[in-house]
Order: sequence, then C-alpha cells, then structure tokens
Amino acid sequence: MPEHAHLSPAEIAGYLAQDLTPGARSHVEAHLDACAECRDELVEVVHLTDAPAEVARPASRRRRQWWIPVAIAAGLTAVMVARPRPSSTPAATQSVERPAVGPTESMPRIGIIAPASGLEVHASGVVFTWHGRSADTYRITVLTEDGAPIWTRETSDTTETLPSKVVLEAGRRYFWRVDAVADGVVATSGVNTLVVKQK
Amino acid sequence: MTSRSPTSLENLLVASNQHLRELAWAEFLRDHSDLFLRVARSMGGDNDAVMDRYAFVLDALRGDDFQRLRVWVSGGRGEFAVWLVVVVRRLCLDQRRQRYGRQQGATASSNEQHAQRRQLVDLVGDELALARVAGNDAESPEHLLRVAELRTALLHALDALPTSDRLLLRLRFEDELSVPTVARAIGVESPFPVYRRLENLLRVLRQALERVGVHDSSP
Repeated sequence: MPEHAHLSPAEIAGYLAQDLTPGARSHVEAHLDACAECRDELVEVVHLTDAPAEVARPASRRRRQWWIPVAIAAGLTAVMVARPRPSSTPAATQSVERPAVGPTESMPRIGIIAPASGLEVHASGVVFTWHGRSADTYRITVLTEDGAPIWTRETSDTTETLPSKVVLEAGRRYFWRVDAVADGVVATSGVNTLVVKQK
Repeated sequence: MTSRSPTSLENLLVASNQHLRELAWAEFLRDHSDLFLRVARSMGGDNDAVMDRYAFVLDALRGDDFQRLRVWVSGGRGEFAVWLVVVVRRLCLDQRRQRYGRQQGATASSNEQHAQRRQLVDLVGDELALARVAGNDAESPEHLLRVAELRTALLHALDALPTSDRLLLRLRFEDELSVPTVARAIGVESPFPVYRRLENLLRVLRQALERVGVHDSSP
C-alpha cells in the first residue's frame, strides 16, 4: 500500500479517543482491517501512550569520575564573572554583563536548543536541551550571577531537567553551560544566560 | 483553535516575535520532552542513536515555523498527546530512513511479515477446533477434504462479518494482542466488553458453520 494512503495521525488519535464520525471510524476500521502496518502503528501508539509519564532514563554509560577532581581543582574557573571595580578599565567594565568563557572559547561549540540564551524561564522544571557531539558525557552547570555553581550534573543524554530541589530565585539571572567530556572537555556551549520569571 | 490544545502549544503558535517564540518553545519542551524521549527510545539503538533521533524530532517540529504542530490546530482529533506520539514516531522513522536508508531485502515490511504469518481463517479455525470437528482420522483423504470444506465455510463467514468485528479478531488472533491491549487499540476502556464481543463472534462463526452442516464445532 502506498504511504500516502496510510492513516493520518489525526485519524489514529481520533480512533483511539472515539472522536471520529461514524463514517470516518468505519473508514479507519476498514483500513486497519487491510493494513497490517497501520495496525502495528496503532498498537505501538497504544503502548507508548500507556507508558508511565516518567520513564526511567536509559542506563548511563560507565561514569567517568576522573573529571570531578579536575573540576574541583579548576574551581569551575572556566566561568568567571569579572566584578566591576571603581578603578576598572572600560574594557573590564564591559565584561560585567557576561561571564568570560576562558580557555574554552576556541573549542568546538555545542549548539543550544533550549532555553535560548537570555530567555525568561519558570523557577522550576527548566529543561535544558542541546545538540549532541561525539562525547561520552555532558556536564551541565548552572551558576549564579556571581559565577558560583549551584548545580552540576553529568549525563550521557542531551537533555536534562533542573531538579526541583534546586531553587532559582524569581527575577534573578543565572548562567549555564554544557561541556562535552571525552578524555577532557572537547566541546562547550559557552556561557548562556537565563532569567527567572517574576512570580 | 481547538479547545483540546495544551496551553503551551497555543502560546507557541500565537507567539508574535522571536523572543516570545523561544519562551513558548521552552515551555512546550518542558511539557513534552519526556514524551519525545519515550518515543525516541522505543525505536531502539544506543543512547547516541536515541539522542540523535530526539534532536531530529525537535528540529523537525520547529521547522517551517512549527508547521507540523500547526496541523493539529487545523485538523487534530482525539488527544493531543496521542496525536503527538504518532507524529513524533513517524519523524523518528524518517530519521532512521534518512540515516540508514529504507530497509530492504532481509527485512520485510510489516505487511509482508503479516502475510508470512498464518492467516486469520486458520487462526480462528484453531480456536474453533476445526480439525477435531472434521474427525479423528487425520491422515485420511476424507478428513483433509472435510477440513478444507470447513475452512472455506469459515472464510466466507469471516468475510461476511462487519469490518469492526473482523478487525477485532485480527487484533486478537493475527496480531496476538492481549484482550486488554485490543480494548485500548479500539478505544474501549474496559477489556470486558471485548471479551464478550469475542465470545459472541466465535459463537456467530460456529453458527455459520452449523448452517453449512457442521454441528459440533465447540472445542
């Protein structure tokens, strides 16, 4: 059967929800009776929508712990905020608005999907998403405006949700970055900002 | 816009500038990224493959000013999450085809795989114990002829059923689904009506056989 003749997503969703006219439902049933591919899709959709909302993440690869002392030693100094001082030069003052990216500036970049830099977000449940690079592990870090890390996580996924225990203050600005780790940091998103919505 | 659209989708599709779109997209992802990952994982492969698929889905949904999501507004039926599962699953299949090409040769299509399975008439025939009804002398030509006659009669009876009933039998016997799964696949909450319908259908088929001279089709 040619692909264009298969059921549409609306027909499948409508059929499962009993949300079709009798004529449309008959059409869907006749198609399903004849098309094993669409029956398979229907059943797969049933299984996927029956799955619990929170699905366990796949087993992470063997975690490489070696980077932790490296990170501690570095004090996450890759992300530094240059504080303005009365005697600071104009150039130094300009850097207050954005943390310097330090030695990772020339690294390959990790494309950010969400949240876009500078975006206003809710105080909880922020979902960070980025494009994958060839790396075993990604390390995401959220920092205060002062550059103090408040949450860091190592993951093999390219998405991570800020856990509820990490409380972001309404109206405050935070920085976040993602580093790809494979025998050292091999790529970075650079520093992105997010602003927490006022309550 | 349909009332069944989630707020995060409505915000996304009416966003009037880039900043608002990014805000709404982040919120939409917060609501649905678990669903995207679940579907991406269901297609198998290692973690890299899953995350490639996930990124492909996000890019595709964002593409053409969220055109794929706008389709829901113009003609969505049922629940948005279910519709989205179908859309995302098809995108995952597209990504796999783009990456690996259409699977050919050794891997038959779903319809071909089904064709290689036993046909519905034989599966229902087993359920009705046609071979036993035809007699005990399994090796005799008379027995084989009787089985063939019964099979033809059953085939006619199946063809005469309403499509929805035949679909029910197909899902249960050809696709080998459990009754609770069959119930969900036809949009029925409880499996008990499905048990009753199946029982009734088998009775109807036995009666059809009786009309052509078979009087002991009960197992």
